[in-house]
Amino acid sequence: MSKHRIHGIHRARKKLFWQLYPSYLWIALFALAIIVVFACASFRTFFYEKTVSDLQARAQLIAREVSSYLRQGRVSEIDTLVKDLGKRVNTHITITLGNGRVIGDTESSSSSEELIYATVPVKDEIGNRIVVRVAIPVTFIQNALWTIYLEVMLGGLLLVFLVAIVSWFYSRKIAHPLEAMRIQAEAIAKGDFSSMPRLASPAAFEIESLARAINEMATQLNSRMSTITDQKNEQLAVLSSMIEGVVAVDRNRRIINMNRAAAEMLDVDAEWAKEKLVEEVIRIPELQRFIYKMSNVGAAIEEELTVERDHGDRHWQLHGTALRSSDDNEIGGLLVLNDISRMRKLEAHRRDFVANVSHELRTPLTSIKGFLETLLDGAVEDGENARHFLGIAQKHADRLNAIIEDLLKLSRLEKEAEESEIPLESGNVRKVLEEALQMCQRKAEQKNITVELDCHFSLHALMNAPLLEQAVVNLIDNAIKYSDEGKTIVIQASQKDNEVTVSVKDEGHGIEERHLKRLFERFYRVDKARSRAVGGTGLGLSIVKHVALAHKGAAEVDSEIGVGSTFTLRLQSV
Amino acid sequence: MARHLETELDSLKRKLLALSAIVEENVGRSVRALGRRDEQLAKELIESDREIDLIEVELEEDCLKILALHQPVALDLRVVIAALKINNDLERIGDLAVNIARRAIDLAKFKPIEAPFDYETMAKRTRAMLRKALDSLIDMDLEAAYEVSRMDDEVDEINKSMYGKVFEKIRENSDDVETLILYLSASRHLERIADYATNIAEDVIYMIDGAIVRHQPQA
Repeated sequence: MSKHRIHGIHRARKKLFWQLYPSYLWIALFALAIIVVFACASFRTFFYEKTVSDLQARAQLIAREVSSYLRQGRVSEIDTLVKDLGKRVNTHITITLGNGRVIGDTESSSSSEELIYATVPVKDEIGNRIVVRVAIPVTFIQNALWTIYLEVMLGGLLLVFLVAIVSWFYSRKIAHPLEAMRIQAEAIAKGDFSSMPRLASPAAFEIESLARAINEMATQLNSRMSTITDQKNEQLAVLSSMIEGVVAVDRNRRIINMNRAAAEMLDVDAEWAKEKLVEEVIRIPELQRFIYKMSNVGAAIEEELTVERDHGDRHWQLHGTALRSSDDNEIGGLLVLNDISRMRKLEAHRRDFVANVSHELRTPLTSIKGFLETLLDGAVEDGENARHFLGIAQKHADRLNAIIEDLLKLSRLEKEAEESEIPLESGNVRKVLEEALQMCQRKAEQKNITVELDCHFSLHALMNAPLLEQAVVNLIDNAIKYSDEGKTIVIQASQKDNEVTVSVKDEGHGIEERHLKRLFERFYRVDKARSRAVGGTGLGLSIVKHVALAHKGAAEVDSEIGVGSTFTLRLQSV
Repeated sequence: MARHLETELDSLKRKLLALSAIVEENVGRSVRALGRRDEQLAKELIESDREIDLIEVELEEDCLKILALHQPVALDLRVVIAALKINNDLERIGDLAVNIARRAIDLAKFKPIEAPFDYETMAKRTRAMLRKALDSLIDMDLEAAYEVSRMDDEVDEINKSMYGKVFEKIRENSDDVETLILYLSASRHLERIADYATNIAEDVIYMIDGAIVRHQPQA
């Protein structure tokens, strides 16, 4: 069964050429065979008839000769005559009288030979009947016939050969354009229009119109395909350059498509995700639920989602709508993911900042107000206490002043940096560090803290000396504040490649890693109670950061619990 | 009938994947809660375990329903059986995540010390294993499934070495005994999660190949 089928398929797959060519050959061979058979047959008949009539003519001639001999009574000489004649014309001749007596005969060398005869009865004047029999061997005729047959065959073979060649070319001529069309049609099927030669026009009308039709079809398809491809590319370009992630799902909640942003946000491969179940691709339960809801609720829905990632949380805004086809049938849903983490972060910062500023300003203000009220309530009469209260109020006013001073400094720094009005010039780093150190010397001595300075005398960097000094003072000040008595602080400056680093290393308690990232934010405090107790404005490090930025550098912190912290300023070398 | 079975299996797959996503997230959250000593997150997680339990029961009922109604054979049968087992494993992993979250809540009461062992690496490995096991489930990927059991050895190794480290620390400084014991327990739970991830991978192998590779020495 299967064998048959395979055979059948094989037969069906025969090339057109191999269908045409053998049939041509067969027709030619068949015609030739018939011609040859007929020709041979008629040659044979013709030859036999000719031989017979020839023999008859000979017999007539001999009969006349013999009858003249008989008339002259030279009967005895007849035999000699016959022998002589027979030898000359290579024919058996037998003369028989009416009574059956043979009066002349050529010697028949081989009597077994098949012969062909012609007999002519003759009467002489006395009325004696004589019979002349003439014979030649059949082989003689057959030999001649064979020669003719052979020639005919040779001619036939030559013809076959010619037919084979000619029909080969003809078959090719018919099959070749069809083959070319097949190749072309296959190319079209594969969507390859680019490298396509136009089909040459074959001779036959049907094939020519077919070729034309294919050419036409190819052109049409090509232009339509390129229109579609262009449109698709445009859409793809629009989709893939969108910052928002777009995911289209079908009614069975399988992914139809997603753009690059979505693939990045979901951390999957967009191509891989196609046709897959939503649950397979999106491994975030909340998002799975949202898509479920989206495909079940007709109206557009909106939600916000926080996704926990190793490198920090991401906030996404989700928009879901039904996906409709052009005839308004619902074919699925469309999810748009908007990463609003940055916005959220900025918002949070701003909120924190406002809250912090108000808080920081209110604390001293409340104290001042409290003491002033106490004074008004009568404490002003009590000279000693009044002095004391006023002193405290002044301290808080100083603090308030310091905070506002720092805030102004910061906003000025920011503004100037924005307008790039901060002039940088080459300056000696050691000189700046020494001056900064001098300003903090007193505080350090109070806590019995040693400050070491490690900096080459000729180290230069691009700087704005007063700002840099301010930043270093802030760092040293912090280090002193958060170090226990008797510890050491090391200020080190060095150059590596095009970068000058200034670092302040303390032996304090260290800062937990989760604080490090936010440490340079305004009013960010690791330990709220403690830092206020040591009397910071909460803006010191923020100023340091902005100074570093103004120097086109960076401020960094490195800390280990129980070992200490290192703050580093990166500046550009000259 | 066959068409019906197909849709049922499809929905089974969906539910299983949805469950796996929740469990995976919970493990991630538990690890984070412990690392950050985030009590709030831990409590939320413990709350969300109820959902896992509900889905588990639902999934099991679905499996039984398919078995009873359709009497699947060959691959379909293996899929249902594997789903049944993976379902169970996932639920257990969810419970272990809850346990870790409880340790996180307990830990938050004590003063922070440095984790006595390579907690980050271990947590990362365990989560990677779980992810790989679930990937192999999604992609029906034999190769990935086999890889999971290879990864398990590493987690076992960290867990083992952790005992020694904790003992050493206790000897050094007996003030932090409670904290260290909590870490020890969390490490055990992580190791158990890794084991369940291996189980899932083995169930995936069973589902694809029909071969039961459990309890066999590694080639």
